[in-house]
Parts: sequence; C-alpha cells; structure tokens
Amino acid sequence: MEVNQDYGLPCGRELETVWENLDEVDEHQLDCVHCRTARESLLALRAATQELIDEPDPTPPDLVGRIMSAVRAEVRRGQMLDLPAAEPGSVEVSEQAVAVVLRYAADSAGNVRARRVRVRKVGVDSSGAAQVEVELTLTTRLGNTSGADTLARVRELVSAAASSRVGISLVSLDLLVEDVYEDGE
Amino acid sequence: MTTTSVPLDDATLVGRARDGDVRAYEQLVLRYQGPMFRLALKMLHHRGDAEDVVQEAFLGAWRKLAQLNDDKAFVGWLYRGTTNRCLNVIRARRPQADVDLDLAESPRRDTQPEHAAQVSGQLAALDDALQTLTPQQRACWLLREVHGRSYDEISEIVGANPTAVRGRIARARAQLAEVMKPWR
Amino acid sequence: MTAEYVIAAPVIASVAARAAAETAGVVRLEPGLRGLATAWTRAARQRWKGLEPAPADGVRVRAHEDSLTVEVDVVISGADQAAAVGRAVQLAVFREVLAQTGRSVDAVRVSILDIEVGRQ
Repeated sequence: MEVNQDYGLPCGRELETVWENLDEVDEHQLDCVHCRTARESLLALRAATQELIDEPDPTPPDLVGRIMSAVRAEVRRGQMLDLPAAEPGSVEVSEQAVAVVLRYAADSAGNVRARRVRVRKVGVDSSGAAQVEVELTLTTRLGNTSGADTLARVRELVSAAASSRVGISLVSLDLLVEDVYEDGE
Repeated sequence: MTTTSVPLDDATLVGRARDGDVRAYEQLVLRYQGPMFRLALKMLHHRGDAEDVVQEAFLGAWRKLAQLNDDKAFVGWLYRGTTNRCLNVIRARRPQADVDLDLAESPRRDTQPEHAAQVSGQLAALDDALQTLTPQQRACWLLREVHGRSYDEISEIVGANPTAVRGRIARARAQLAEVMKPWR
Repeated sequence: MTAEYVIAAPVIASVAARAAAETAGVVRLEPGLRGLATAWTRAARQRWKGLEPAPADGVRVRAHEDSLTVEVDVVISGADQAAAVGRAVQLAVFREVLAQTGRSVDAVRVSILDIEVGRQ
C-alpha cells in the first residue's frame, strides 16, 4: 500500500510486510539483517501489546457510581402522580418510577420483553390516588404460540403491580406487540 | 420482585435506556466502562482526566440516546464520544509541566504502585512510547491493536477515511517498534 | 421571627433526612444534583470524595410565616408498596422532627423519584 512507502527498509521490503508475516519468515528475511532487526522490534511490540491487553489498568471502583449519579441527575422523571397521603402534605411518585415497576411486571410474564411504557394521568380517585391510563409496548419471543394467554398474563401482572406495588389506580391498559425477539438475543 | 437474570442484549438495553430506564443504562455502563476508561487512560496518561472523559462520554451518550438510529451501534458510538473527548482534552492542555503536576495529585495513587510492580519493562517502554505519538496516531493504534476495532469502525470513530487510518496505524507501529529496540 | 429558622432549618432538614433514610423500604434520599453533572471539575471531584455528602441532601425545609413544610425526595425499593412507603416516610418525619427538635411540622411532601425493582 502506498501509505507505507515511508517505512521501506534499506533492503527494499516494507515494514508492513514484515509485520503481516511475523510468523512466517521467508528466505530473504533469514539472511537480511534489516528484516531481522525490524522483525525483532515488531515481535517485542507485539508481546508488549499483548501484555497491555492481558493486564488492563484497573477501573476506578467508584466510576460507575459517579457516572450513574450524573445520569440520574438528568433523568426525565416525567410528571408526578399522586398517591394517598396519611398526614398533611402529599405523597407522589414519578411517572418514570411507575414505568419501571410496570415494565418489570410485564417481563415477569415470560415470553415477552417490555419496551415503552406511557403513563397518562386522567384524574384522582376518592382515596387521593392518581387514575392513569397506561400503554405498554412489548416484544414477544419468536415462536411463542400462546400469544393470547401471554398477553392475558401480562395484563393481570401489570394491573396487580399498579395497585399492590405502587398504589395508583389503573383505569385502562393498552398492550401493543411491536416486535419479536429470538432466544439468546 | 424478580427480574430476568439472563443478560440482555445491547439493543434491548439501549431501547429501554432511551425510554428512561436508568437500570438498563447502568448495565451498559458496567459493560463498557472498562474499555472506555482504558482507552482514555492510554490517550491522556492521567487517571483523573481519564475518569472525567469517561463520565462525560457516558453522560453525553445518555443525553443523545434519542439520536442513535441503530441500537446495535451503541459501542462504536461510545468509542467515538470517548475518543473525541480525549482529543479535545489534549488540544486544550498546556505544555508538559502541567501534566507532571497533575500526576502528583492524582487521586488514585493508592492503586498504582501495586499495579506498577507487575508491569514489565517492555510494557513500561510501550507506555512511554505511546506518549510520543501524535494523538491521532495514538487513538488509531489503540483502537486497532488494543481494542480490536476494524479499520472501517476506526474511520467512523475518528472521522477519517480508512486509508488515512491505515497510514496512521502504520506510522504508529513503525515509531513504536523503533522505541521497543533497546528493551530486547 | 425569621432569624429562628435560619438556624433551625438545617437541623430540621438533617433530622428529617435521617428519619426518611431509615424508613423501611427507602433505598436512599435523592440528592439534588443540579449543576453537579455538568461541573465535574477537579475541585468538585475532590470535594465529593473528601467529604461525606451533606446529611440533608434530598431534603428541603420551607419556613413560611409560622408554617413549616418539609419536602423529601426518595428512591425506594420495589419490595414494598410505594404508597405505603411514602406514608411511612411522612409519619417518620413528623414524629422525629417533633421528638428531636420540639418543632411540629405542618406538612410533609414525599416525592418518590425512582423505584428500584429487583434490588432488595
């Protein structure tokens, strides 16, 4: 390749050629002092590079924590939804937190993975809990033949989670299957 | 409450993270902080700066998740963010004196001597030699030889055509091999 | 008497933060990280590492006229019902602030910002 022409050895061979044939020395290389020297240096480089890969610098122990603190500070929490309060003041939960709970409830049905969750507040019930409409987008396992049963189970688990895990009032739940996934993916 | 224990693929995690799922993003951070930190450390030769760059790269990726068209392209995208930030840090640096000062106040010195003891002379020589390359050469060489990225991927990451990338890597290799001589 | 609150507010915040953090089901208080994310200067990093975070991170005390309101931002575990944990935090803050400072709080506003499912 023309980009390598700066690195021709005095014998006329390119350094890149020596690099690419490090493990297959030909007749010329056995005799040529330039090739031998180049090859030895490249072998040393290859060994040191392998060491660099095998003994990686340790990652700072708190790096993930720092990154996630910064990320959490920017999380789109969505709107806040009321929960019944016991005392003067209020108790509220973020739309984002509700989405996490509902998504995991859907996952636990098996054969599906939850993707998007949309939570829309439509009112407040007599206990002070927000009434919400939820739209949940799913992908389903390829070859899942009991689709209707699966969706019924998702519906059951998500409804149960909304009341028993969060304490909001679910007034409607739309399930949309938008994709399939394969095992091992 | 139980969750699936099978590690999810990048695309699913990226999709969830885009939807605001912080835990999904945390999985991606856990998965890729190591390679990004090691790249930044070799680029910058300074642990504090490397930490900052990696944090900014992951934060930047989080902010721009919506702009990522192909969920499977996340890793390459992360490499690009990390590499570009490293190059910016180097560009903004004043000459050497600063770097030595910073090394002395590196907050991670406690973890260094132990590791340093395991480092061979050859590796130390390579480490030093890397700092003599131009930042662009160093980035291309590290991405190819240490991180195993293809020429096409590297050209996407550094924003240069594959021929230029090949040239930089060849030059870097020649220069590094030159420095490796005395340690044979 | 506003002067009284200038001294008292951090104390109330600190008591409230402790009461909230120790409530069953609360994983942590969520500190207001405004500005932190974009300003990770070296100084900020060392401050973060060198010192414990202020004990009242995630709590705001609002004293207005004679009325005292405490706002708490929490992250809770998915093991308990969010509404129940929120109410327990309210109760704990009312009780502990009164017990330890002699002040009665007028309102406690609990915001559950995140729920950590799958982590007990």
